[in-house]
Amino acid sequence: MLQVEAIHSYYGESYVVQGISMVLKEGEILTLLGRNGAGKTTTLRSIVGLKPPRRGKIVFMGREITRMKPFEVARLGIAMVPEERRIFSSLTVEENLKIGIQKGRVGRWTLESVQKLFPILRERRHHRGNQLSGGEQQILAIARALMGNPKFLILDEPSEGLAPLIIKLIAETIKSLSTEGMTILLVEQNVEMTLQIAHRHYVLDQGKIIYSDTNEGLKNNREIRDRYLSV
Amino acid sequence: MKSVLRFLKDPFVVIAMVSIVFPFVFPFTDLATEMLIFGLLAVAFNLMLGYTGLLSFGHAALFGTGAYTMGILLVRFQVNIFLGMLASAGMAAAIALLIGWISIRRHGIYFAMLTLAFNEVFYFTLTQFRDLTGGEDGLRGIYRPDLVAGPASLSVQEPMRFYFFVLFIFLLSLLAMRRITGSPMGSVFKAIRENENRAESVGYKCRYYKIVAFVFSGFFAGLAGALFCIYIKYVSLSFCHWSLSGEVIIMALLGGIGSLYGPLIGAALVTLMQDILAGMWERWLLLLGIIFIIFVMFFQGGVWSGIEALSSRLFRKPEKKEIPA
Repeated sequence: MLQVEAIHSYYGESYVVQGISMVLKEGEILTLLGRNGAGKTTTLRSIVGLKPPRRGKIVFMGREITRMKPFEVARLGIAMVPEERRIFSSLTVEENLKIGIQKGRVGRWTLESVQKLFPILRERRHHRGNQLSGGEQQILAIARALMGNPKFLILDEPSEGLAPLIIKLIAETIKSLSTEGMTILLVEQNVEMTLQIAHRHYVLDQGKIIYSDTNEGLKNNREIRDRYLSV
Repeated sequence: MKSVLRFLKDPFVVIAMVSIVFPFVFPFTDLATEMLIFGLLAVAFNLMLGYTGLLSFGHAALFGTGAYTMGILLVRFQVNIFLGMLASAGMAAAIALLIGWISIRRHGIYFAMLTLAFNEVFYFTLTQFRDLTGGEDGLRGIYRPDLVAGPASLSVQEPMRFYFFVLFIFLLSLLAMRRITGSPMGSVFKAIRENENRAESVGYKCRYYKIVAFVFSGFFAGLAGALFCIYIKYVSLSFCHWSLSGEVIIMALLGGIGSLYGPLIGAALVTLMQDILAGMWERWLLLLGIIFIIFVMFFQGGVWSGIEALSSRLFRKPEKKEIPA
């Protein structure tokens, strides 16, 4: 589904992503783990075209997307839920959802089905984005991404700063999306949550992948978890 | 009773009612007409600043395009008034497309400066084409045509009649702009204002939408220019001077850029002050400047947000408690 081949990305002079490669299969939940500043978010931004890599190649469903503009990437069916749940705070809940619709991408997700999955979005449909609680904003951000009926969903720290109950709801949603065939790339600090839902993990440190394993493998590897992932 | 109340909560209805009654209580009909025209210009301008987050310093050029197009069409071709207005607005939209096409490649202050530069280029180009524009003497010989539609015709020479003609165009334009801002495209405009990168990654080609906003804004600014031309029966270079662009910004900010209707209030206030204060005191701009500074420092929402706060007290409904997560 997605192949990332040795990408290198910079922020100005600082060399943030130093040759990361990864492969995602359809329907899989893959996580990128690692400490702050390891290059996780930059990797995501490179994939969606917000921070094109200086070197390397990104291929999505047989098409090279390395130098595509963010809106072109979005139209191909890659949706990103940015960190800190970046919804549009001046739009209402319903407008936020409708703005997620991608022309020509119809499918299982519509305003009705998204509201059915998350009834709170129906209840608060006339509220503005900035009137929602953190958890509601996160749910809205995920729902907005779904409205475009993507094939590939990228989530950047969806559990950050949320109450355990909401984290559980989000984890369950991610899991059930993947069983329906959605491919998911998840960046997280919350390792416990990812161990419950992911299939495979990559661990990043200083811009490089230093470890990759299956879910079982990471569960049993105390050393990696203690060295790179414990807070 | 309740449905009447709800009807009254729609700002458009209130504005329509107030502006219908206004000339009967306000003794200066011409001044009232001017308020409407500049109100239209300010609302058109705010499609860009308030909705899309684009600060244009080039709206005098668009207003002037409308006025000159109308004037030239009248002087040379005795054009039908409706056709002339449509052509003027269309011409201004075309100029907006041109300016937008280039300026939108830059962001923030660079965008604003590019629009200002275009305004200047436009201004000096007009001074050169004396044959067409009359140069520094302005365009003379403009008359106010009757409203002609098929066999029917109606004179609008009389100030009150002209006021209601302008009001009609004004309300139609306001409805159209309300439609635009309330549409899904309007949401995209607001999304761009809030965060362009985010809008882009949700899947919108922001450059395209920003140009569209510019063109819409240009269309209605040109329409205002055309109305002003037949109101004052004269077109001068000062219509295109950048200082008018600045005045429009003041109108919009004073009224409040957070809503469609705010700039109307600002335009009405500035036009009124201009008329009253300019007669009393030569340095009235000083006072306008001070008022402007006070608003920007302490009342950023403008007059409109004050009105909104007041009306939400009148029409208060029980608020839902926030559920923290």
